[in-house]
Amino acid sequence: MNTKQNIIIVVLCTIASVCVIVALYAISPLTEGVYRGSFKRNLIYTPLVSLSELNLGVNSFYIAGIDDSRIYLGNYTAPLHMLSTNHQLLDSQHVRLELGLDSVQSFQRFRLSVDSPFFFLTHGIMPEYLRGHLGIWKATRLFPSAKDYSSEAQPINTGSLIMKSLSTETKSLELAIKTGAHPLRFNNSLLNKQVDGIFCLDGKLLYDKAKAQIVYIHYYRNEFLVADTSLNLILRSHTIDTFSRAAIKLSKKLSGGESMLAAPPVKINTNGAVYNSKLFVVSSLLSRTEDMHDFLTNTVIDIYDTSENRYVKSIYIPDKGSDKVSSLAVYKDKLIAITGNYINIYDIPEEIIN
Amino acid sequence: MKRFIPSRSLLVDIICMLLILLFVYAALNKVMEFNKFQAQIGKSPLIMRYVPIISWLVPSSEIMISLILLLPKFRVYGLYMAYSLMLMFTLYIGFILTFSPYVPCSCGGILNNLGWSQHLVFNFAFTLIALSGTFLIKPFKSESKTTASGELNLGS
Repeated sequence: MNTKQNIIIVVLCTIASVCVIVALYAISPLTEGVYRGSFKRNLIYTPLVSLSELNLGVNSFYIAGIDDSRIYLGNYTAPLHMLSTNHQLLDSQHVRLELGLDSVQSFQRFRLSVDSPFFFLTHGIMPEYLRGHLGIWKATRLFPSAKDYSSEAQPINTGSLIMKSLSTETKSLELAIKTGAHPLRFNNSLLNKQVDGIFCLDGKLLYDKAKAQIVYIHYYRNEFLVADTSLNLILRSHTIDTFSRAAIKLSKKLSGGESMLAAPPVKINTNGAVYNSKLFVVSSLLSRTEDMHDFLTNTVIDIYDTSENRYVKSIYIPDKGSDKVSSLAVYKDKLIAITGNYINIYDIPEEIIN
Repeated sequence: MKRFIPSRSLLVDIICMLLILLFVYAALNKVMEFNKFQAQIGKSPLIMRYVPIISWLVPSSEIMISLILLLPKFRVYGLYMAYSLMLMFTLYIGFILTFSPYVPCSCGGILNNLGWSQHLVFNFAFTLIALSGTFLIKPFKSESKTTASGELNLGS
């Protein structure tokens, strides 16, 4: 055959290959619409008032803590870099924290948490739990020789940590409390496994300092729970959506004892914040009568009252371009959110606080 | 006198060997860690619905094309198939990098160490290699066949 015939065949092959990929795309979930849940939201449509805004320059900051005078931010890519501002997002100060350790592994794993007058740096894998004073900026070990591995660690009071750790007894993730040199004390009745006890229990640990309570939000199911700082269960309740079972698909047996997801998990609740019994949950689900475009251009937050165990209302926080809210915190009547490179302080509508 | 160009058929041999090497290596990697491979493609938005079919189809196509490339008589078809397959792989990666809301993890042994954009370049390079093979390969003729002008044409 000659070159001309060859070109024709090559062109035909090219068209066939392109068609296959285009066909795969056309029948993939990417061309389906957004899933609409059967639950209803009580939305406050009046836009939130942004009291102050600050361009952080990068999108790697998260809210590490708030006190009466300042807001403290940690950074995912530079774990020892702390930024603090006042409540008007002015007077920003950058601090380089000092780590009182000889050696470090997976350095980027360190997470900053601030509970005035202390700041905490936790690393669940080394594991290391360090604390320092705000103003002196040097962190030293809280527990001398502990080997308590955790996937999340939240400081409460001033010397204890609530941890999400793997229990050897139940072989799944459980909440536990670590105080001083005492061993980790588990409460295995709080987190209940549905699929594998690890992926299916993924969620976020929140600390309601005003009420001295712990809230745990599940990412893949509509359940959240409230406990006191000794891990006694106060309330087990549901978010307004209807997904009560985690849609987690695990791979079949892998070599090396690994466990892997075999399909993208359906994330129901993605983030949260709590203050004085008002629980703010970032939801990823479109509700029954909600406007699709509004949903896609805002981050929707469902608000619950944990002391009365009821759903209050829902609000929208506007996206910045294609960026949704990545970090959220609540303090008194203010909502602080990091969206893309920006941090904003919003006024919480009256009807929610009362 | 017909010019004998040894370098051209040598190039085709090298191209075919490279393709066979790539496909056999990639197919074996997938088959040896089959559950992991299935879990990885299960997370890809483009193909997650067809995991059972694709997890079987891709490695077997790779092996089949390798076998076809080994047979001188059918090499040219193998080269067309190799080109089409590599083009699909390249387009798939290009699609994931531009249109997908998230990037699923990659698979393939040593190729795992490549980032996604490097993998794109790698696949594109092999697509071109297969393509040039189709242009370089001369039609297969059995030995001792005389051409129209009466000269001896040995092999291809």
